[in-house]
Amino acid sequence: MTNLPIGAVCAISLLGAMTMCSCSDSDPKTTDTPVQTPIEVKDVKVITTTSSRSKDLAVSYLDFSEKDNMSPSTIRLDATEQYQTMDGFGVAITGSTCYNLMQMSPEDRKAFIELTFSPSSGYGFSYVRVAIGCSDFSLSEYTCCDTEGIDNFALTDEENIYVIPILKEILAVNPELKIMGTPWTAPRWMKVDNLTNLYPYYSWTSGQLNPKYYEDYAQYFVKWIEAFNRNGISIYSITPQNEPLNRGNSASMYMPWEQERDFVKTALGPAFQKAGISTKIYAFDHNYNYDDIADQKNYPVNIYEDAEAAQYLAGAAFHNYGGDKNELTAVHNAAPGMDLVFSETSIGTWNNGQDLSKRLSEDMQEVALGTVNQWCKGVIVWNLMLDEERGPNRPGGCTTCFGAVDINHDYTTITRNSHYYIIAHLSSVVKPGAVRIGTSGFTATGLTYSAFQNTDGTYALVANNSTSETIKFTVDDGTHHFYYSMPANSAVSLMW
Amino acid sequence: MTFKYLPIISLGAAMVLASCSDDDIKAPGNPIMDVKTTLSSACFGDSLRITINASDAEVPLSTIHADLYFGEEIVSSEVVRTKVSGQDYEFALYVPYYANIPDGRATLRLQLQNINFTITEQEYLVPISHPDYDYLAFVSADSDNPGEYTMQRKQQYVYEFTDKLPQKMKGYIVAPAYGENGNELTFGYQSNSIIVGAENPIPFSNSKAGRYTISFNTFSFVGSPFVTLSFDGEEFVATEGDLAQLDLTLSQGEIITPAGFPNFSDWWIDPDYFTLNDDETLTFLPVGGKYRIIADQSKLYFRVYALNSTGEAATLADDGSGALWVIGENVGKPSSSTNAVGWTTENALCMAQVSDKVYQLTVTGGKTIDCDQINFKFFGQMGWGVELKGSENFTEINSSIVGVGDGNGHDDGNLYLLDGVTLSANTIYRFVVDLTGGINAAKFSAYADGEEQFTEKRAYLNGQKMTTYDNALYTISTNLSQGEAIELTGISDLSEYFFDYDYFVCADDNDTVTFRPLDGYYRITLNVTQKAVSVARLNPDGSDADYATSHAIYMLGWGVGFPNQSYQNGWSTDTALCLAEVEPNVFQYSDYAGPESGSNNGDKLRYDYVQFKFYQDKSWGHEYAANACEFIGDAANYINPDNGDFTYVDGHDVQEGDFITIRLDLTAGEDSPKFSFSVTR
Repeated sequence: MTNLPIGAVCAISLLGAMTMCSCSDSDPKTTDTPVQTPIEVKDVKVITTTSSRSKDLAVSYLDFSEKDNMSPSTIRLDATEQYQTMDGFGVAITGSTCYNLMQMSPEDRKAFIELTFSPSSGYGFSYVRVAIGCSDFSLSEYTCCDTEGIDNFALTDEENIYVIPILKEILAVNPELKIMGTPWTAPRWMKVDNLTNLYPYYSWTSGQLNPKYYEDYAQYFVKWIEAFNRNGISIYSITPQNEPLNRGNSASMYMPWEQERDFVKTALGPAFQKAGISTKIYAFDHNYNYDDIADQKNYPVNIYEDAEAAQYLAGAAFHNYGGDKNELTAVHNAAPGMDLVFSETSIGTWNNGQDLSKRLSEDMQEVALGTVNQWCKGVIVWNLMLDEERGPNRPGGCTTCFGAVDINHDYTTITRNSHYYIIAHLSSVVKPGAVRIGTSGFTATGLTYSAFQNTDGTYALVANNSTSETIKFTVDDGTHHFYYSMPANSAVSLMW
Repeated sequence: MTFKYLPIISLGAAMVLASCSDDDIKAPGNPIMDVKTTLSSACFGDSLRITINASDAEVPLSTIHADLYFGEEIVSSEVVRTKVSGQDYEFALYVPYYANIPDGRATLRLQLQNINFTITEQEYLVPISHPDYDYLAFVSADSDNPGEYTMQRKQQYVYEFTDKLPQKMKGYIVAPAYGENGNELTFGYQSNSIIVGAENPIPFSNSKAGRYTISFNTFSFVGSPFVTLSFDGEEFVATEGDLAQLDLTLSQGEIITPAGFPNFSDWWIDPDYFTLNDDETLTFLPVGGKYRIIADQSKLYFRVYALNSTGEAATLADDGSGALWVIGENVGKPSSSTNAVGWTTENALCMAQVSDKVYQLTVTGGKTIDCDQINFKFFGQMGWGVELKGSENFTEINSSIVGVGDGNGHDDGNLYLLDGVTLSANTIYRFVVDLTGGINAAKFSAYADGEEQFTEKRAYLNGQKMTTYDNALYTISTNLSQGEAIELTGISDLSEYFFDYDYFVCADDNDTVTFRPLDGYYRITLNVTQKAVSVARLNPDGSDADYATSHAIYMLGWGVGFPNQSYQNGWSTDTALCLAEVEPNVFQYSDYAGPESGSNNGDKLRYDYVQFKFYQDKSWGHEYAANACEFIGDAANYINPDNGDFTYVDGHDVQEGDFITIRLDLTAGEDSPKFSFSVTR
C-alpha cells in the first residue's frame, strides 16, 4: 500500500495539465513530489489506475486513428440507444468524515476538497449523501428534534460546526453538487415498539415510527430541508429511512414497505407538496435481498403499486450488503418509469478494504459499472474519509469500516482506497446530465465497461480489466475511433 | 485480377531500426525486398499469394515477416525463412473474415531481416471487401432431413432458403471459394453465436414445424430464425441440449407472459408453481423470491427451483425458511416414468413454498407419482446433507395413505404407502410439510385432492379460445366473412390437419388459411382425433342453421362423410353434413373420391357407391331428392336422375382420386333445385 502525503496528493496532476497547488514549499513531504513532465493534450483523455497503483489516476492522451477501422476488437458506441440520465457520483459526508476533514489544516483540506470535487481541476465528485440527524458515523447520537414536539426542531452542533461548513466548502468548488439526505432514526419520542402494541420505544435503535406522528415526522423532513436551504445548501433528494429493514444499527428504525408507503402517501409527499419542496423522494435505501425477509421482497415495487404513494416517489435506492445487483434490473423492469440510485456500500476489514489489488476490480464491477449498467442514475459510496482507527465511530456502529480515503492521525497523510478510485473514474469523465448509451461489439472475459455521452457532446467510456493480461481494443463512436491497450488489473476512464 | 502497388511507406534498403548503436554505427548488411505481387485489393477469406525477391549482398538473410493489420491490430502473420539471397519467395497470407467488419483498407507490413537484425520494411494499404457470393449452401445436420439446401442471394450479404422443415433445423453453412485467391469457408456455431471456420451445427429453430425460411447475413453473421424464449420479455439463456434457463425474482400471484415456446399448448404446467390462464399467461403460485426457471424443450415443461440471494440453489434453514427438496424414487415431473428423480441429487424436486415455511408437492397418480409404491424423502438442499427424518424432525404426521419412516421397518425419513394403500391413477395428491415451527417441529400431511382434469389443448381461433369438453373436439362459434384470414394457434401439428376444402383455402402447410363461404355465423370444430377442421352454419341464436333462417343445406346418406369414408354419415341427422354456401344460394360439397376403407382425410366421397339426399334443416324435413332436381351439365352421366336418392348410374366413370364437386343450386328458388356433379381428374 502506498501512503500519499498530502503534498504528494497535491502534486498529482489531476487531469494532466493542472498546476498544483497550495502546498507549502516548507513542507518537507513535497520534496518527494515527482517532477511533472508536460503531457501533450491529444484527442482522447485517458485516466488509468492499476491495482498495484503503478498508475494512480494517471492521465495520458491518445490520438484518433487515421486508419480505416477494421479492427475485430471494436467497441462500438451507439448514441441513439439511450438508457438513464446520470445524476452523479460521490460519497457520504458523514459526521465522522467532517470531523476528520476539520482536523486538517485549512490549506490541505481545501486542496483535498478541490481535488475531489472540482469538476474543472479535480475529479468532479458530484453527488453526496448526508445524514438527517445522526448516523452510525456521527459524533454522537442525536436527531434534530430530541425534545418532544416538532416545534423544538433545530439543527445541532454536528450540522452547524461540522457538516454544513464542509458542505459549503465543497459547494464552493462544485456549486452543482447534488445532496441526498437520509435519516437513520426518527426522534425517539416518535417511536413505538411495533404497530400493534404502539408502546413507546425510546431508543436510538429499532422500533417503528408511531403512525400518529406521520405528520410531525414529515414536518421534520421539511424543516431539515428548509434549514439547509437557509444555509445555502439545496437538498436534491432524500430517502425516508436508511436501511428500513435493519433494526440493529447504532441508530436505526424498522420501516416495512407498508409503513413507508403510508408515510409517503399520507404525510411526507403531501408535506413536500404543500411546502413547495421539489426534493426527490427515493424509497427503500437498503439491500438487494431485502434482508431475506419474505414479506418485504420487492419493497419499492410494492409501494409503486399504490398510485397515490408512487406519485410522490422518484424511484428507489439500494445498498449492496446482501443479495445480487441483478435485483436492480428486476426492479427497473417492474417499474421502468421509476429511477434507481445506488446509495451506499462500504469497504472494511471484512473485505480486504485497503487492499487495492483485491478491491479495485471487484468494486468497479460490482459497484461502479455494475450498478450503472443496471439503470442506476447515481452511485454513492459510504464515508469519504475515516481516520487510521476507522473512526470516529459509535458503539454499536461499524468499527471495521474504511473510508473512501483514510487519513493518518497526523491529518496530512491520506490513503486512497478503492471506493475513491471507482468514484473518481466515473465522475472525472461522466458529468451530471450525461446519458448512458448503447455499446456493441467487442467483449472479453474480465472486461466490463459502460459508455456515456455528456451534455456537451463528448463521449466517455469507463472500463475495468480484472484479468492479469493487457486487453487491446478499438473504440469507435461512428465518427472517430482509436486504439487502446488497457493494462492488466486496471480501471480506465476515456473521454473525447 | 489486376494488381497495382499502393505503397504508403517504402523505406527501401536503407532503413535501419533497432540495430543502430548509440554511436550511430550503421547495422551491417543491406537487405533488399522486391515485391513482385501487385496488391491492389483482396476479399475477406482470401489467401493472398505474395512473391518477394529477397537479397542482401553483404550479410546472409534471415526471414521475411508479413503482418496484416486491420486498423492497429495484427490479424494475420506469416514468417518465411530466406536462406538464399536473390531468390523469389512465395507464400500465402490469410485475410481473416470477421463479423461486422466494414470494407476498408488494411495495412500490409513486410519486413526483410538479415542475420544481423538489419531490417528493411515496406507497408501497403490493401483495400479489402466482402465476397459477393452467388449462393451459399446449408448443410443439414438433421438426420431426418439430411442433405444440402441452396441459400439464394436475396440482396447484398443476405442469403436464404425456404422449405418444409422441422421446428428445429441444425446445420452449418458453406460459402464457396470466391475469386482466384478465395477459400471455401464454413460458418458454424460456437458459444451461442455463428462464427467462420466452424462446422458445429447452427441450431436454427422456428415457432413450429412447416415451411419457413432460414437466412444468413455474411456481413453480420446473423442468422434466423432462432426462437427466443422469454418470461415477461426476459430472455432465457441456452445452457445445454434442449435446456434454457432464466433467473427471476417473482412474487406470489404474479402474472407471467411466456413467449417463444414452440408448441406451448403441449407443455406440461407444474401445478405447484403455475396456473395457466385463458390468455396463455401463467400465474406464479409460491411465495415471492428469486427462482430459477429451466425450460426443458425436450420434455416440454418448466423446472423451477428457489434460489438464495446470491443466486445459488436455496437451502433449508433451521427455522424452516429457505427451500425443501424431494429426492428419491417413484416420483418425477413431468412424468415419474420418463423423468424420475431417483437418488440423483441434481434431479431433486424443489417443493413449492406456498406460504411462509410451508412446502407443497403436488403429484398425480400414474403420471407424476407411481401408484403401487413410493420411496422418497425430504432434503434441505439439492444434494446430500440436511434431511428430515421421521425419528427426529416430524412432530405430526397426518395422512391415511402415506407414512414417514422412522427407522423401524422403513428407512428413516423415507415416505412409503401405508399397508394396503395403492394410489389411484389420475388422482391428485398433495404432500405438505409445515415447517413454521422449525425443522425439528415438522408437520407432514398427504392427501388426495380430486381427479386431474384432462390436459386441455389451448387452441385459439383468431385469438378466441376454443372450448372443449372431451379434449377431442374443440369448437368455437363466431361470425366469419368470405375471404377472411383465419389464424388457428395452439395446435402444434396444425400442418397435418385437414381443413374442409369447401370452407377453407389453405396454403403454406396451413400457415395461411382463409374462409371460403359467404359471410355468416358458423361453428368451427377442430377434431384432434381425426386431425380435421369442419364447419357448420348456425342461426343467429346459435342453434343449428336451417335454410329458412340462415341458408343452410345439409346432406345425409352413404358414401359421403367427413373427413374420410371411415366416417360415412348414413342417415343420422345428428351428424348431417352442412354444405358450404359458396355463392348466394349455391351450396357445395366437394373433395376427392376415395375407397370405402383405407381412405384419407379429404376423401369425402366414395368413388364406388353413393346414396344421399339434401335437406333444408338438420332433420327429416324439407328434402331435395334426385328426381326433384334439374340435372346440370353432365351430372346425369354419374348420378341417376330418376331415383329419390342420389346414386351412381351403372357404369359410371368416377375413379379413386378424382376431384368431385357437387353443387345444389337454389338460385332459381328453393323449389327449383339444380344439381351438378363435376369430375376433375
